[in-house]
Amino acid sequence: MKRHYETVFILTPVLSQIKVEETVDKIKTFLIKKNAIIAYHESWGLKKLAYSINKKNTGYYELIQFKIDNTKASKNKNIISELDIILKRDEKVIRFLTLKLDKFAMIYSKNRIQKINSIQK
Amino acid sequence: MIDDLDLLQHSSQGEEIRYLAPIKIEEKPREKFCLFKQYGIKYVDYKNPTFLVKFINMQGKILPRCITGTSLKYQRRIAKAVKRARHLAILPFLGDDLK
Repeated sequence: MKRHYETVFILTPVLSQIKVEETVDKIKTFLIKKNAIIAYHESWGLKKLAYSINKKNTGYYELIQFKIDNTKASKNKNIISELDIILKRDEKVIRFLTLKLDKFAMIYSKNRIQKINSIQK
Repeated sequence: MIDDLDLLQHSSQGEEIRYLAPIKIEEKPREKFCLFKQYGIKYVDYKNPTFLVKFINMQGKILPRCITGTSLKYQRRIAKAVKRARHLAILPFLGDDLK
């Protein structure tokens, strides 16, 4: 059985564009190492925060959707908790949120991706 | 004027007195409906602040069910979505003048 997850995390606005990509790649490579398949990645760019976090008023928002095959259970154990630890230890990450997507959320996210793609075209 | 009114009251004793009490105007309360059942929305997205603003007041508090008219099932999901949005600084914990 495959399970779908979604993480959103905010990076500090101090970083340059290259450093942002590096940190995103670091998390992506960790997920790939653990046999997760990255379904979708989206960066919202520099956005204003609703309230200040760590005395910062802006941040880079990044969204990653991935799926985990639970049949290979021995390798994929505690993948979410390990991901949380990596995000927690990273000083560049201000906030993060990891969710499991249910079937309604999957339908919604598919429609959302289609909409975004159609606007870009 | 006052004497006239007294006279009127005395004269109409036994008959039906009209318009002494304020006239009753029947007002139907506007029917509320669940937005999610009406339009078939199954998932409340926490990433969309323009949609979530409908269910919070000026200060950023979650509005109760009796005002918005959402069903209990979706009220729970709204509350969860708003709390997630607050954690990610998409919505404020304490707003000044939202909307």
